[in-house]
Amino acid sequence: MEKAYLVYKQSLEILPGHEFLENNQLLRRMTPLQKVSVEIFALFKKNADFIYNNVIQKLKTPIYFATKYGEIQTAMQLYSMILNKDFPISPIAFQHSVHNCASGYISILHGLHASHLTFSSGDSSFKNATELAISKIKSGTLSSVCVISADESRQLGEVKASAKICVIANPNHFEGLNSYCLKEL
Amino acid sequence: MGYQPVPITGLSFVSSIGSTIDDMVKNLSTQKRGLSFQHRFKEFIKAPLGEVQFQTSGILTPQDVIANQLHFSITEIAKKTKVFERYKPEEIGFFFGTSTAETYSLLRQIELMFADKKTCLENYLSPKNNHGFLVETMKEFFPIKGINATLTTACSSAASAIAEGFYAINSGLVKACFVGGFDILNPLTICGFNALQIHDNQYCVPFSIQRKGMNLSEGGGLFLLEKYKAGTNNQTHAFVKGVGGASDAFHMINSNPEGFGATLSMINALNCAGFLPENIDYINAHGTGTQSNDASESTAVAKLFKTPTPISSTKAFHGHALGGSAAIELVVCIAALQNQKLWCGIFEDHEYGNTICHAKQGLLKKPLQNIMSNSFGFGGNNMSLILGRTWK
Repeated sequence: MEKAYLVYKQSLEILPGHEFLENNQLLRRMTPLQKVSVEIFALFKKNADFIYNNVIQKLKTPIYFATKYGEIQTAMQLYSMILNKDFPISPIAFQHSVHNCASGYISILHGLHASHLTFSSGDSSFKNATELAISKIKSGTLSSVCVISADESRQLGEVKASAKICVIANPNHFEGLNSYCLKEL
Repeated sequence: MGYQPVPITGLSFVSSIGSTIDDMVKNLSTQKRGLSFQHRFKEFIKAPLGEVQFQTSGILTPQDVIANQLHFSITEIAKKTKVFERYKPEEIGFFFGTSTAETYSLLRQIELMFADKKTCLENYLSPKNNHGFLVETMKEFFPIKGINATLTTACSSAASAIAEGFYAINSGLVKACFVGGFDILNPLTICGFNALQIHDNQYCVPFSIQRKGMNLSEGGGLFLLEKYKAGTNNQTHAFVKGVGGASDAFHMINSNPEGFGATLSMINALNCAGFLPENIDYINAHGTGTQSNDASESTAVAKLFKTPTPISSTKAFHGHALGGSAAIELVVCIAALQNQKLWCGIFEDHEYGNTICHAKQGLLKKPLQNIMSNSFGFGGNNMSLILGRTWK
């Protein structure tokens, strides 16, 4: 049995007006859920370049993206158009309505070709993604997984989005990673 | 880590071209489409759709329809394989893929919220309003306590679920695993694809010069994967020999024109199986019929397969069932291996004829031993599965 360690973790909450680390054209079109996902990954890359370069890049670490309900604000916008017979509905909003859009954007922005999986099981989403990641690392199927969880909610008329990121890895597979181990899982 | 082929010992599916392998083979062999201009979404779209007869009873919401179908499929598989008698609950896993299962229930909650003139949808959401509701419900009905998850990687959702089951069996996390996926048509999906202008308003003809887009459909399938045991008498439909995933990292809906992600997922699947491209006897393409997909997939196949390997897209018959599509196409591949037949669309004017080898209806140049099935989704989620007739 191999070992799985948490080597990085961070949480983030964004509200309208948030200043993003990497501003680009794609970001302007994104939903709050996609923005917070992209931003937390950019923060991770900035704060933990050793882990990013050696674990994410070199070892083609897959991203497991977990979301309770997915793009609910976008679904609301699209369904409002359908109910009002406002056809054609927005093609951009439609492509942004799939649950795996946020992880797709992370892979596009950072040129990551490792596969990314999206988990959507309500409150169990993050737990399912993390448990599968740990199981696959312990069984030797994978050396590392980057788990990102994100959701959005509307409060007092504003859409708030929150995310957390956990990088789980087997330190025996990367020289120098031992000093980054936070907790054995 | 080296991977062993994983037997598929049970299957249950529903598609617009049948819900039994015999019906599917009959329809594919006579080139009978499951697509029709007469459907329940006429107010939204004029193009043909592939509707299916799900296993249901009574008046149900679409999410309940899939729950009923899943319940039926697990019961049917369990009856034939006696899986629940042969394994402990914690030895049985479940990976389910879908992209639209909860859409209807979400739309219903949005309607209720609009009727109340409110804007905070979260207050209207219940545990039913997420894709995982189905797996959680099935876990209450059946003794399934092993590792499980609901995956939603758009049109490759079922393929992702099958791949995770393959890994779970190979790594010893479970001894048996239900895998697959179902999707059901809904107004949001139909209007969305209409907005993207990638519907073919006639019957779709993937890989033809005449192709104009896709025909949407619904359905999917569920499979039982088990750890291989030599000498057992259980029926094996086929073996999953390799799985591979990759991200296009290019565009949210358009495929990389160089086919980078598609090539990578096929290479990963070949490596997983310990195969070379020449070990593949037929490729069941993702082949949606859109300009973007067909051009990209043809380029990827031409790059990787230097010896002529027949390729076709059976979506010409059963349409594109989105998250359930890979499951239906896995059944097509099982049927091809069992019947030693290939099926292709109803047209002669093939595009890319000088770079890829279009399969010919019913014609085999050599016995079918191993088949590759591709599934590509929005967000650049590419998956390739390799299916074999025998364990070796």
